[in-house]
Amino acid sequence: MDRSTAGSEMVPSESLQRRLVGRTFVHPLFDYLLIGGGLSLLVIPIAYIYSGEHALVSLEFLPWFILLSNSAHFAASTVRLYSKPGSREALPFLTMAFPLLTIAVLTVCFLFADRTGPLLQAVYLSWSPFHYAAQAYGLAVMYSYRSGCQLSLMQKRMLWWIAILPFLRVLLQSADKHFLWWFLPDPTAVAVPPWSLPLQAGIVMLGLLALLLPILLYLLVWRSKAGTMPLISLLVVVTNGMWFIVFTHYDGFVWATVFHGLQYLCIATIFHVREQRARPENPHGTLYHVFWFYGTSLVLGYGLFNIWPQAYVWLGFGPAESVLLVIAVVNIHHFIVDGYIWKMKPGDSNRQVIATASSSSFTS
Amino acid sequence: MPANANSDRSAAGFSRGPAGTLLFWLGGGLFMMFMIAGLVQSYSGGHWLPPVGVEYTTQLNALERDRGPAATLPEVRTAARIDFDNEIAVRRLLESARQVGNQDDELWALLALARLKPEDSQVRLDLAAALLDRGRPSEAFAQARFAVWLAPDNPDGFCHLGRSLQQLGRHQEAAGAYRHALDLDPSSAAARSGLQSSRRGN
Repeated sequence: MDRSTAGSEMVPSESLQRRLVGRTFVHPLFDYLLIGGGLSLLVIPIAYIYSGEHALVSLEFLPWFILLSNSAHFAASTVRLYSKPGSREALPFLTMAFPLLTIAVLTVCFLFADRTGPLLQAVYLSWSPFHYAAQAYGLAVMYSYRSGCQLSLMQKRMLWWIAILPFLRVLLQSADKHFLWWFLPDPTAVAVPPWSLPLQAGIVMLGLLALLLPILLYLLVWRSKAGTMPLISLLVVVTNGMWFIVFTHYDGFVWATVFHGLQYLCIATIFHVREQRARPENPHGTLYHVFWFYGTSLVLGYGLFNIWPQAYVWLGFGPAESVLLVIAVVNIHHFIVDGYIWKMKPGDSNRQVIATASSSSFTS
Repeated sequence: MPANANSDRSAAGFSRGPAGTLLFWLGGGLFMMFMIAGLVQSYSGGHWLPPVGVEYTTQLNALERDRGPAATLPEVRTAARIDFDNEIAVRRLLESARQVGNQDDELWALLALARLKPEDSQVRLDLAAALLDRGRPSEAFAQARFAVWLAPDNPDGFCHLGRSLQQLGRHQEAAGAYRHALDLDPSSAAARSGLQSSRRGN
């Protein structure tokens, strides 16, 4: 579909309410709550009201929650890489050679765990908030495009910079936990004057900007020729900001991981179902593809996060490095694979799913 | 879902041919072998849902019960060094190092804790004491000064400040610090003996 005319073809003359809601994939409620992150705005306050500071600590429930949501979400990118039509031809290195390379790099890292471990840990901890921010940006652009809002190049650039503000804030807020730490002469000094004052001011400023600028950009787009940006595009960017701005570093990370994982599983499942159902030889219905995709992601997630580390314990490595190095490498693998499988090149199935499918075709 | 993705064209030719297929099956085969080994390890220990993330501490606890703190210290050290942003892992190393009497690990853990909990004056005090024990008075002085800044009502901070100033040969200033400690806690034996020795110029 020609990008310049896509919007006018898709949305001829809709009411303001429809334009504000935009074109959702499943149902406005589903998309806004699960993909837009709206559910987090409801669940998190309830969790804190009922459980207070212990909202995130339930040692009995945590391993199952991690498996069902977080581990499955990490595995979903690999499942999608191999199930996406044409990916083996389009991404031969990633599909054929990258798994072996990942295993080799991980195993070499085990031999020098004391030196490579902190490096891998810092890389993945720094990359995570960027990954979340980039996903928020990608989803915002995707819903805009799908809803006929023709963002200009400048508007997309502005949206990108606004979306990554929470990431920049996380780097400043917890400079000692991320790669900025490597460039600080004395990491403890950032907590006391004279470093602490400009840092705190910068952190507060970035937090405010991350919550206010999306609204300003929304209004700017509204007044431009681009058309109405659906509110879900605004919501997805603002909620990602809120996860990191409202909570402390640790809580923010956990909540972001929870809802990012849910968001990711939903959108990846939607794309998978649409791609599979578009195959001429497909004999299965939507539910079959939903369960196949989630089930496969769950089994692979269990293998990656629960079983793989134990293999290194079996080989004689300590439990800590076995668990931590595998987690770091699986995270980094996920970030890299994600950088490829969500491309919007002309002819790519992603573009077709976004542009053509309507809400009803998912559930039909 | 990052939009900034690079092409993997450079390796495409190589990966597309039979070499790519070979690499894929090698990777897949290796991964399956890891899965079998992991399953054997997990189920032989009765773990249907082996630990993920910080739960590795449960395995460390079991190791420590079996082998004792000295033999487990290397594992605890590796955990703290990799999981450097996890306060529990670092405190665990501090505890094990103190049990075993390993000063290097104790100092490392305190330095890491000072980075993780910069506002914790007790960590600064412990760090200052550890640095003094290792003959590093200028660094100890800096940490004691932080401790005093964070908790100006704590006489221990001024005692540590006094000790580090004494080791630096600044006896008059040390006496001032001890006097301040005594103002805050007139019963402080450490401040009293420190004041006496600083007056003697020891």
